[in-house]
Amino acid sequence: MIEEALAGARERGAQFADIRLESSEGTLISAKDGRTKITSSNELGAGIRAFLDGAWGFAFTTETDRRGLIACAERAVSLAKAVYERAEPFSIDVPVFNDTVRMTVERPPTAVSLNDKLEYVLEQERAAKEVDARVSSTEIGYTDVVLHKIVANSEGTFIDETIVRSIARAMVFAKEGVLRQSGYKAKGDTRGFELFAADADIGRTAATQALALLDATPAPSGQFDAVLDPSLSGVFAHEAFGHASEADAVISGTSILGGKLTEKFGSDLVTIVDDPSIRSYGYMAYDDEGVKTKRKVLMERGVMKSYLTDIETGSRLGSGSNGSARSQRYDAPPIVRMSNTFFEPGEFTLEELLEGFNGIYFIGWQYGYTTPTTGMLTFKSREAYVVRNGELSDHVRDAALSAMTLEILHNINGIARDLAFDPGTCGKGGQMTPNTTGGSYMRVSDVVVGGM
Amino acid sequence: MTAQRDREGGLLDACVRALKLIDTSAYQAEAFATYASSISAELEKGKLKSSQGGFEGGIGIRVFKEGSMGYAHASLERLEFAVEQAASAARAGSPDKEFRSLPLPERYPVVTGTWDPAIASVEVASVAQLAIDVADASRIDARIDTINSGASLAQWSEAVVNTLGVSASDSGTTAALDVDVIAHDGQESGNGFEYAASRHLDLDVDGVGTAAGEMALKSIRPQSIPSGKMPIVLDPLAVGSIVVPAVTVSAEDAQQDRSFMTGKIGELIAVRDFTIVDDGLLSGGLETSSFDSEGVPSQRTSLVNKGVFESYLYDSYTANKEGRKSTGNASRGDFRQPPSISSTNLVIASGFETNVIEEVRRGVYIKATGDRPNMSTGEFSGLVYAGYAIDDGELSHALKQTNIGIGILDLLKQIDGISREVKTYFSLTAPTIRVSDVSVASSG
Repeated sequence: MIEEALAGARERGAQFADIRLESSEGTLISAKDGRTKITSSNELGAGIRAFLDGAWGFAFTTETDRRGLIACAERAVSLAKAVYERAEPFSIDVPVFNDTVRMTVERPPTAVSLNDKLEYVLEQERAAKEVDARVSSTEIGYTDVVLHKIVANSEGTFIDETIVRSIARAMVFAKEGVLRQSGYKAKGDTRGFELFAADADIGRTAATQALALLDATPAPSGQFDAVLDPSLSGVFAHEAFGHASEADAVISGTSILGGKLTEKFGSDLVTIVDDPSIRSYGYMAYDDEGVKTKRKVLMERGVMKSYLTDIETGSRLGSGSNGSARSQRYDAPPIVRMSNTFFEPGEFTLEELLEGFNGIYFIGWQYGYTTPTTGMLTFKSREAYVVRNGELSDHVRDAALSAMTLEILHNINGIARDLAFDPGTCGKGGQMTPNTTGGSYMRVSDVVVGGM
Repeated sequence: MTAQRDREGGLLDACVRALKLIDTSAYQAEAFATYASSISAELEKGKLKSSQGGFEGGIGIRVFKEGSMGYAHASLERLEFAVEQAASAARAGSPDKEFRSLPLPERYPVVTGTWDPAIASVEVASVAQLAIDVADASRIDARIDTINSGASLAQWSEAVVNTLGVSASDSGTTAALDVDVIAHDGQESGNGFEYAASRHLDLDVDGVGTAAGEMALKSIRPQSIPSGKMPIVLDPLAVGSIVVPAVTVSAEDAQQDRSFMTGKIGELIAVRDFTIVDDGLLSGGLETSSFDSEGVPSQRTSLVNKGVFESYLYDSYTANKEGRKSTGNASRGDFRQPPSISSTNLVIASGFETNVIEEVRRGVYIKATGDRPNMSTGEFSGLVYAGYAIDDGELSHALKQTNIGIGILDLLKQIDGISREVKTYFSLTAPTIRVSDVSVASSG
């Protein structure tokens, strides 16, 4: 059936065609102050691409029988035909893989009762509320999904992959007088329910953070030196460097890193890696074009080494795909994305980084974003300390750091030993994907801190 | 009109069939079905690159048992499965005695300007042409050498039916354009972007292209400025990021005491010139519909009137909790999600000034930021990712690495200029707003 649809696309004039057939089963539970909402999610659909002389047509359908797939393939070809005459011609090199990957987890979410999942969620809520009477509101979310994906193409690739992914998030609010604060903690991985083995850590951690922030004052603003905790180092790798190294931005002329391969613009301490093959929240054995994923060193000791590529961008840049194509769901085409992105750890300890340090110590990430075109980036921490001569003094909230990609990687002057990962969600082109960011404690000079 | 009337009929039938499977003595339930199709085209570096199209239908079932909500979605062919899953999820959850009822049937208002037959019958070639035209329009100077653009058209039908007698259906169309350009001048570059969306195929293609081109030229050679307190001027786009979230507060956040706006109803929170309305009935508005996504009639809700905070946004659950009427703000992206509270079309009243920057000796014009206020504390701190310095009443250079910080309640009281001209970005129509005395931190 799949072969028939792909052959049909070729017969109608496509030089290349591929298909992603996805089915998934998942559960979402949310509890807001005891009010529960349970959602059961089931998806079945296919996305088909057709390539013709530098143009792509993409069509999707929920009709996954023989007739539906063939019709969808025909639509993909006619969409490609509608644009190819006015496209920039190029050809693509398609690596061929055949494999079946079954992810093994200890407790598959499909074999765990709704009651057990709900109990975990309510336990986080109870634990958060027990921390202190000032905990005023809680919101706990739990999501699991078992995704079965077939990726096949007209060159002979056929990948049959199952991925299990689970994540829980706690958002906890605390109130004292008119002051309100919130704390956040998430835990996510390509694991089953074993990830949430009888503990109440995320609810309690988020509550503790919210309470600690009640006595925090607004962050100062101006130019400072900074120490980042591992979660913020991870966001830094993702925003400061990862997005601009996506080859689609390089080809469309919208990345500040275009033409920078082999150039050195980071300090000797800086090695940045994107590695989907690490079993983490952003894990995948094959990407959404059926290309085997691998560890990619994007920057090595300050030197730009490679971009993230998919079949098209790898072909156009001459390096080949390095397995970085991802899509949110069958109804969106794969685009170049990060997976698990991190700074390699260094030699220092946190104590050494803080010794004699004057500046801001940032802890816990809220969010970050970047404009790859200019290299302007920013991210916001949950809490921070003003540090004077190595001593933590004022506890401050909502400190934001902003910098320019090509300048800031020079300024990293210390990275600690301990590497830690955080799960998160990354948005690009309207598509959300599960990612992790990682790093260790890191010291950076001369950043702009935005506060009040 | 018959094609989408037939489609709405099909969706209503599917909803009715699904709800027939529910034991109404034990449960309240709602079915929400949609059918949507879209077509889009993209240009990369000035050349057509790809086109996409597809259609998708589905149904989402919401079941309540003693207030415990279960939800499930599936394709229309598998609605029995969705009903079963939603009911078992409702049984598994915790009872909620605050839940009173799903909405009851009411008369729906008539809305206009939400359907364009020209979009419904469009061919992919015309969509590609739109993307090409906007790219061409942005090429206003030889320095503009990189242009990426896109156009997309969509049409959809939806139906919502519940076990208490609500039954409603509607259809709509949208057209959207975006363009992102880079201008180079020697080693320096500048980025410009613009977008537009409408319910009709009446997009100002030339205006969108030209605006992006002008922005790119103006953004070449960004520089820092000395830090300090100074006036800021918020472009309508930045008003949407900084001001709007603070005054579109969901009743859920207020009831759970999570927002700094909790308890402020009736208070003077802004200058008297500041007024904002949530208008679900706005003719041709992107979020206009005669009913919300749980079948409550849409309405016009005054959020801030002459500086006084007048209302939160309610769905039926939060409204029932306070014994009042829902404001019709239940919203959902598609059949995959249960409703949540969201604004519809927002309109901020225009002011009197023809030029809000002319009196600014030294300040900052903020075109865009990706940051949002912290709704727990009411503080905003964020990066000006597109903006300009203001010198002697005129926009000068683009800004580099510049952050601003201010408490939102201070900001609302420090508004000292609102433009006469308004601009619509998606569902927000807003003027340009000047605010005095804001702390600005830059690397200079």
